[in-house]
Amino acid sequence: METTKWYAKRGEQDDLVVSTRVRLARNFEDVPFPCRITPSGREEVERRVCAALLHTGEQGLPALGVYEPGAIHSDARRAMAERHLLSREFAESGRQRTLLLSEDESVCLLLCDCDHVRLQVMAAGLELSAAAAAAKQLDDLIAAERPYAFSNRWGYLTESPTDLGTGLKASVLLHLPALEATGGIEALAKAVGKIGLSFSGTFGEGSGVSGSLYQLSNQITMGIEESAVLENLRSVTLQLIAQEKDARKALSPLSTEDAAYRALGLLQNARILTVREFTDALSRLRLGISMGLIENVSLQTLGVLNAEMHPATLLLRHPEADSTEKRDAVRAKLVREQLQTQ
Amino acid sequence: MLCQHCGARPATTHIRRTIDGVTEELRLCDECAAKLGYDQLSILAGGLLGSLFGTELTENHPGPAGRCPGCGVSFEEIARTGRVGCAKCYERFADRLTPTIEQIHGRASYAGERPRKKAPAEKPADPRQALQKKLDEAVKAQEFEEAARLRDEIRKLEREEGQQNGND
Repeated sequence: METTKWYAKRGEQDDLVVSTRVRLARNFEDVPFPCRITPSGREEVERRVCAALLHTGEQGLPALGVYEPGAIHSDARRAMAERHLLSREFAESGRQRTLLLSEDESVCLLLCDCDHVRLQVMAAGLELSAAAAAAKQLDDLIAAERPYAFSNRWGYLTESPTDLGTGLKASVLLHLPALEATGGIEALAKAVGKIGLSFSGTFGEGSGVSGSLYQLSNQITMGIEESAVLENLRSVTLQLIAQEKDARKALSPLSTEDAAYRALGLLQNARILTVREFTDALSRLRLGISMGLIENVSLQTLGVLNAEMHPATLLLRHPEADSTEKRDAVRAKLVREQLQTQ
Repeated sequence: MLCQHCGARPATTHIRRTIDGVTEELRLCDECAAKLGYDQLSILAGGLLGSLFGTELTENHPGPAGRCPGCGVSFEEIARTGRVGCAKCYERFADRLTPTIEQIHGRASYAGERPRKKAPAEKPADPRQALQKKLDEAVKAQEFEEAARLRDEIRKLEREEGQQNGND
């Protein structure tokens, strides 16, 4: 049986917080950074990280599979970018790197790209401390293998001076349809910018924010402790949740319920579903579930749909869907099936 | 604030550029920033870091001024690419990197956690420390014969170590 992916699990406040991501940037002190690394240096980094993380499965962490450079072809990389395992920039670049990946996709390490190690942990819902704890555990295992590049003055040393410091980037993906509708987003982006956080919409095809999803992340990595970064992020997230809930009170319950059921009807019945139509309907459905207006669709199902119905991920699992039209039809069929098993 | 380019999406990228002494500020959304060539990578590689290092490069340090002993990169290359070659570069070029790092991160110094060190048990213990402890005890107990023997043993270990490290 297939392992449950992280996005099919539950987490705190997961009706509003789709996911949490914690990323660490690390380098070893005795190997040149990726921009100056030699093939033997690259091998050494890979050997160390693999040796350090060989037994994670027996240490309360997910077991990791190792993917050599070139083992994951470009379509699969694009699909991984859709599921936030890799950056879009990396997926499109054609750069070949070694990857370590857990079967549930909650842990992903990219080796010798921007830094020797880019380690990320993902979780459903608002799970900053759990994700950070898992990242720290993995980080400690690697640090025990060989010393990291670290200075008392600048913290963890990185290839790009912009990443110096804790090397920690934490983010949450929030669903904020009511704040978006009432035009409160812009003021929020400005306000959080002043306290060292960044707030941005996630853009899909065409213009406009895709599915009312917004990412909140820390900007500052220097002069602040990791725990304070996570605490700030969590408290601002909780404030945003409270504001979103407030904004929802101003929505007409009947129109919201109507919109949610129309979305459900569309998803359960459509024979062709474009990405745009799908993400919009999913957003309205999520709002309906979150407000207790729709009860027979679970948030786990929503998590799976949200992660697996984008073009590259679809193409990978259904190679016959080799055109946008065919994918729209396959998407409609898969969504219908998912919603029928409820 | 809305993006100054499309006027539709919230601005998330703040760009300040100085051309011929005229400073211009731009606030763009991610999409327009990428479209106009201000994505993270190009800012670092061509723009921001390059220009931050720029004055430094031409006014104070003409020509190649030494290379990093760790990776062989010159400061000029770091300035051009915005990429530091290895951990030692940060020591070797500390004086020239500091102003740029302070421009990026402010004057705050690092306040985060320190990397976990290897557990002490995993390190081979220094046999000299144990001998030294015994020696101290022997002296205290006025067992001078034993103390002399321990001292010789420590010296022997030190000589051997000196030879292993290339007689330095």
